[in-house]
Amino acid sequence: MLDAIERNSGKPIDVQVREDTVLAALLHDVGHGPFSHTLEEILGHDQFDHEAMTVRFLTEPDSEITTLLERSSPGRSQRLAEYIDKDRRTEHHWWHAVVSSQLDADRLDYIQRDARMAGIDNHRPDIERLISHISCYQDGLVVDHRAFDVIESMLLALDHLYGAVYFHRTVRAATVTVQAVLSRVKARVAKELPEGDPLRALLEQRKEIALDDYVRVTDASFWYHLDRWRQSEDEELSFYVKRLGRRKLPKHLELPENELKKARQLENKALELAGAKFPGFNLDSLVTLDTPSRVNYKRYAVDGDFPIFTWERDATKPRRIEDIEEVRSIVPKVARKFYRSRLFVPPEIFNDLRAFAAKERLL
Amino acid sequence: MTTLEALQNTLASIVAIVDQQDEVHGRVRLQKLGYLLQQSGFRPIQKTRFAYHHYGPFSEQLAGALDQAVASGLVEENRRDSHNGYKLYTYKLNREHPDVEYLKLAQADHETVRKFMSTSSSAHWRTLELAATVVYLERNLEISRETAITRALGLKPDCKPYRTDAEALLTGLSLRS
Repeated sequence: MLDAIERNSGKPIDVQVREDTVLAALLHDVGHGPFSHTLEEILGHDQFDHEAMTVRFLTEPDSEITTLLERSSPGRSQRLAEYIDKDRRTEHHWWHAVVSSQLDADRLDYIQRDARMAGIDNHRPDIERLISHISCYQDGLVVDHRAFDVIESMLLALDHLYGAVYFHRTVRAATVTVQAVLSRVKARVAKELPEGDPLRALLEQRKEIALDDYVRVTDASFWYHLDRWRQSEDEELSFYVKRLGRRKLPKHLELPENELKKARQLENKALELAGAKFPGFNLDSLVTLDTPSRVNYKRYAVDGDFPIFTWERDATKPRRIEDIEEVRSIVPKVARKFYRSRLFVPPEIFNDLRAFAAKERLL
Repeated sequence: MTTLEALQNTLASIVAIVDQQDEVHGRVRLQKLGYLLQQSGFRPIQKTRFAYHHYGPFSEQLAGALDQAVASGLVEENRRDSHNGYKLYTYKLNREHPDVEYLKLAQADHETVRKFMSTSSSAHWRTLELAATVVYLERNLEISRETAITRALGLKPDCKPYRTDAEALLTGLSLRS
């Protein structure tokens, strides 16, 4: 990407900027732990946030990464943190966008990788060609209009990945079950995790956890505990763990989009049925609302991020892709696609709930 | 965990904003009004989460609720060409929709939003962007107003002409650092 930007913009890239950008790209997700998006929801984003953990790894004096960064170039630790945390910046630069934007290196990579790994073969956007037409404009990135077709296929692939993978009903059903497990463990942390266990430290200390402890919270140790919790004396905890193991996952109804009042009627009925079927269980974990905005992959978001710009031949300035006419492009459609929220409920009450919805004409 | 109550509160906030004006212009504007309204203490929007994005504080939840409101017909979305060649989205409340009654505010909340909008509804979106960013920076980084303004203008040079307006707006809303 950097070579293409240098070639297409005609502006030489400073060696330090080049090295910083490559390092920031490599290190940008170092703060992720196992299931960290799920943990962010359970603990609250202000209590635990993987990006804040990345910044700690990059800047804290006792982090090995900080030492290595500072040894290679004084000030690098703080410079890299600016790539991750936008409010640390005093200025936006285009090189930040290589690490964090709608066209960042991570997204260009995961669109291809996730599609391949999930077996979605109808999309393989020609990312190489997109990259060869990328350049910088002011503080952002811009793509030559000749690669507009790749942007389209990339956004289409992202949209399909969103529907077929990230927001797939089974993925979300398993995720809400993991959330139910973790929130139960959080409520009984001293009983379910031994003292000195790093996962316990994370649940108790959240963002204040020592980095030495945090690096020990691994996927392997998480799965080990999950296996132990099958035997937990707490009925509610072992219930969810077993369901996860046996794939007896919650089922969903898509919420009526036309009236909130009807959606709440449905939710209240679900709570009533679940309460009667599972007395004593926490209703928040049995009946869960899952909205697309909780999925941690970003669809094309027009308003939150710097838009994608393309540059047409002879134009005096680049254009936002969503301003290109609908007749000529699928972009506006993909960019503004709406997904309905889902209400997940235990399979035991699903049929009763559906019958209620039909009777009351809620769906 | 999220329940419909959270969505209901966010929707009520959107309705409250859109209700005060004939038409709200632009998604960025709605986001910034949402954030400033939260910081002014408007009750229903207190639990909506905002994070720092390119144009300052931005809420995925609010964006999702807006999509929901448009899909349900509660809020009408129109698109038109602005003078500089951009497409602009405008939002209008559909007063006939059954949820309007359902999402009606308590008197005290209604009064808060009325006061808030009488001060901020005529502001340029760049003014709102700058004002929201300044408040975000000073409250999250615990820095002074002056430092926050300098920092925000470094990040958003396009907002420079709106500095005086943004400062006046924050004073008008009694949002102190």
